[in-house]
Amino acid sequence: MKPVIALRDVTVRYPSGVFGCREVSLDVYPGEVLGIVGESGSGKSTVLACANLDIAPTLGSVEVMGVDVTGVGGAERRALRAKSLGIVYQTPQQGLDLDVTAGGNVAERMFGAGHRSYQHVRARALSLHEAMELPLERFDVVVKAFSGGMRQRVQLAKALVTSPPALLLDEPTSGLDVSVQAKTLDLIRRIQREHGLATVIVSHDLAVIRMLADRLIVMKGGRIVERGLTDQILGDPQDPYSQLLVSSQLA
Amino acid sequence: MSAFAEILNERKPSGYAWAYLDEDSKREVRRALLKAVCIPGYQVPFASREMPVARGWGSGGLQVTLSIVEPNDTLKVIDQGSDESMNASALRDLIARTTGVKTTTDAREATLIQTRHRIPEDDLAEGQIVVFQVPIADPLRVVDPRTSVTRRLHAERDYSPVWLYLYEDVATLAAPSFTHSYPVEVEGGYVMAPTPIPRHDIPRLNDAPFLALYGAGREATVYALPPYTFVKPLEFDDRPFEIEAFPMPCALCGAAESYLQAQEDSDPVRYVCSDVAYCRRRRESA
Amino acid sequence: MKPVLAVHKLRKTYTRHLFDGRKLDVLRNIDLELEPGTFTLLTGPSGSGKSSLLRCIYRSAAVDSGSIVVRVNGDEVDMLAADDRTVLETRRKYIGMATQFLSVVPRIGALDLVMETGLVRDDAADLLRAIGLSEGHFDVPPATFSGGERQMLTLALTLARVRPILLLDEVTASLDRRRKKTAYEALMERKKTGVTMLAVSHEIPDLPGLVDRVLTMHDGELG
Repeated sequence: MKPVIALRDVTVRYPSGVFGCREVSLDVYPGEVLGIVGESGSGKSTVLACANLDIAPTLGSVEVMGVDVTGVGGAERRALRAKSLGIVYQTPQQGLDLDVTAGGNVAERMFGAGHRSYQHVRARALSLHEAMELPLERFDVVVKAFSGGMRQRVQLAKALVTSPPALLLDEPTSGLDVSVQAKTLDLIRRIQREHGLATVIVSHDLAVIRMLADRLIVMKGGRIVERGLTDQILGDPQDPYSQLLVSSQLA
Repeated sequence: MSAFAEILNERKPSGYAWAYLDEDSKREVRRALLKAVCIPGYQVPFASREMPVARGWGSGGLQVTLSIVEPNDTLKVIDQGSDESMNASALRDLIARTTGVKTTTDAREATLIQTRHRIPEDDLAEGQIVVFQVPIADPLRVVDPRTSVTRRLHAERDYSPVWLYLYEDVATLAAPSFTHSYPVEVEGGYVMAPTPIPRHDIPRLNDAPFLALYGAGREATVYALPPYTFVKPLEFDDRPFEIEAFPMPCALCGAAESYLQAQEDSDPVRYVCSDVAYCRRRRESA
Repeated sequence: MKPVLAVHKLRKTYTRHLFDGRKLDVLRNIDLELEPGTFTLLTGPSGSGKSSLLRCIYRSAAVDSGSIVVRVNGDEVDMLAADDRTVLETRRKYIGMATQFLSVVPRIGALDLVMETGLVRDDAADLLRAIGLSEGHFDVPPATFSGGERQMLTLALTLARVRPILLLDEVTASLDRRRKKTAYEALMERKKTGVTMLAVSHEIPDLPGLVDRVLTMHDGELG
């Protein structure tokens, strides 16, 4: 079985000379959740951006469904993202147009994938809207009027509407109230299982990681310092930095 | 001095270049227009000059007209179908006084037609040029104000935001944002804003015998549709593009297929042709 | 018959990077074999390494050296040599691990939680009742359960999936006598189906026929 997303020795060096990440390799297979933890500046966001084809690696390669897509751009990248990658950003503004309706935000992704039938697009967007447990009467309401938790659900609906095999989550619950966080995580958990999605979740919150991720990589200074099974790393971290991270968060 | 130059020299009012603009400015616009004609629907940037017309009032269209007008042209200028409106009159005056060209209200006679918001009702022929005044040239302007972004979107033919706005129009039943600048797809794949002409006029652009030129002064771009270009309004597979329908024919001339304007101050409401000259001619020959 | 689980020369040390950097021996050269269908009890003072041994077998704790071989249905997997995904797969198919407390407490009712393992509603309800959790608990999220109730639910979740090897870490520690008895009976029923069990406990269950062998650990050594 091929990984849905694979990064091979990816290094990102920005023009300023700063390294986003160094020699990062990872695989994500269908049905599993890979967590990426680290503090800010660890490189975890850079790695996610590479997986989402937002950034092209300076060195190394990115594969999606077994195909090398390193550095792909333009219409090809757009098609690939529409078809294979769903992403939920940390802040809804990054992934949604707040002045557009919930249905419209989801529909746009379908238009990007080439759909041209109004009824079909609308019906599909509506089914995702309902699957994300959003209220029916909000379907044609602009997202600006939605709460944070609801906005994240719209992002999820949008990510999943084209049935991509991969789902990328960037701190999906940060900024949400604790009770809303729990509901959102439960939803993510459910859809990940239902659809067998290859999921990558970036978080600084180990409780979120523990709940969702099967495997984990710990990042520091752009590098992976430890990788393995989630319960093993959180229960028995070996690397000094991992020990620090775990002990500071999990009592 | 050449014969042509003599004519130019003779006819201009003193103090002005012939056709108001200096020759270098005209040359630049013409170069941009040539490029535009070669790539239908593609927005070509040009250095927009200061005109004695406020931006948003036809400065782009005016620059196009002034750059291509020739001494033996016959000019018609309309604004929403009327030759007599203040804006149309002012523009026509400026062009006529700095060139000495003949003017007309009959679209069939005109060789050069500058227009805001309408295509004349008369069938137009090969050899005629229609210059459209454009308030917003880029159909993707709503997506992002930065040209760097929209240019890339056009290059990649990434028009999902345009489809999104069509969707929003239908879904929210709000005042359609595309009432008068319905996006069209041009041969070659570019999506273009055909300026705020009514839906009624959009099918006229497809496979048209005339040359259509578009000038946007504020955005400093020109674009074009050479004759016989394939132009199709963007439409969902299941919601065909429809032109406006009126409940009754023109109250003045009886035309059933022209674009009408409602006159709400009369009771009951009546509809009259927006193309005033066309309507008058029909009445006079009836 | 070949042992279903064979642990050989297992060694684990723990380095206290955050403290004094000292290296501690947690497990010293452990050899252990489990025959299919048997219940082995692992006992010993706290700190002796018995929970660590269980977690190492499950791979929820890191191991320095040695081998842990699982043999089921002709399949043979060395849990230490295998890659992470194989380990996850092996756990899913062959090894269930129950610890004292639920590590993750999602906000769905206990019955739904058990049904997530794949059981249909009736079977899930039967299981919960067999463990000792009554109907009143079915729609309640475990967050509100008492310690003992959570422990019962953990055991129920472990038993919900049928796996040939079960690792049980102090699964009855918080239960009163009556509930302990119910738990042991549930384990006995499962044992009858041929499941192999390795249980850590500081007390020996008094249900006859349950425990086949008692091993004692002391200071990281089995003996």
